[in-house]
Amino acid sequence: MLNWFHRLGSPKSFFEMTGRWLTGLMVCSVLLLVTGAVWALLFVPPDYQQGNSVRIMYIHVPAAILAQSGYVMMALAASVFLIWRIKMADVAVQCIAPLGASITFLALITGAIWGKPTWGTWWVWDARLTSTLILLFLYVGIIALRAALDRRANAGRACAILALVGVVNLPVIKYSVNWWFTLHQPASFSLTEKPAMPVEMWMPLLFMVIAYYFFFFTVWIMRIRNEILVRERGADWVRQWVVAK
Amino acid sequence: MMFDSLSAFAQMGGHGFYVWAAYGVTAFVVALNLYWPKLLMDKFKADEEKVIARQSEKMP
Repeated sequence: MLNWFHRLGSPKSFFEMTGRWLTGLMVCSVLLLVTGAVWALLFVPPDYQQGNSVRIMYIHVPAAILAQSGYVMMALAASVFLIWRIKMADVAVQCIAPLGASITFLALITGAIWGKPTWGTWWVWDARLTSTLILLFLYVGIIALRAALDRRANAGRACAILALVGVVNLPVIKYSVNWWFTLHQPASFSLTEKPAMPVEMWMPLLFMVIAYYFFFFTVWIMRIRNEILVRERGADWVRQWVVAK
Repeated sequence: MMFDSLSAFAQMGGHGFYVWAAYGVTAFVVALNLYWPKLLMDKFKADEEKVIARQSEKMP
């Protein structure tokens, strides 16, 4: 197991290992996402209050979950980079930021579209929505900070520190619906309690969350592989890989 | 199956615009996320092949 982690820390072995998984991961992600979407659009019963707009939940909730858990993963990678100076951790931070930003954007935009028929407004400056918007700015800030700094080592350290500082926003997002009286409803799910909705509604939602995780890891790995190639450009093994392909 | 006809499916009981807009944006962002890295990798490969070809010309 330790050896396995050690290999993930080396750019060359990471590239070789993930090269074997990639096609499978891509096929799985697309199949899971399409199945989940068909399930949510065609087979889930409409909500007795919201009608068919409840189908937006199946793409909004997983996006919101991934936006936050992606940030946790980024912060973990950032701390690994700051403590042990493992370069692959910096690559991981760099590659998750645009992905996290796009998923947070999806959470916000699908939330706005869902908000219009449900709450009667696209947007309110409610604590949950505002803190999620700040999450988007954090992701974008990390992308911009890296682009602004020339030396890779400095940029990596600065981004890692910003990623860690931004962690304070996560409990704000999570507990915003309990701390303040917000328009956004509190979570309908928790790991410890029985879900408050019927099984034919939460099953597809759980399925979609898993599908989003697959998609997220697939894209993250694809981006990391590209960044490895860029950073190792000119190395013998990269040349051999280019010629062999 | 929750819909009797294709038009009922498209209209979503009056919420068609919202449901389809949300799914459309999601499909676009997901597809872009999967396609973009592949595009970059293909470009990297093409560029490096050129570099390698140029170098092997110089060193006969």
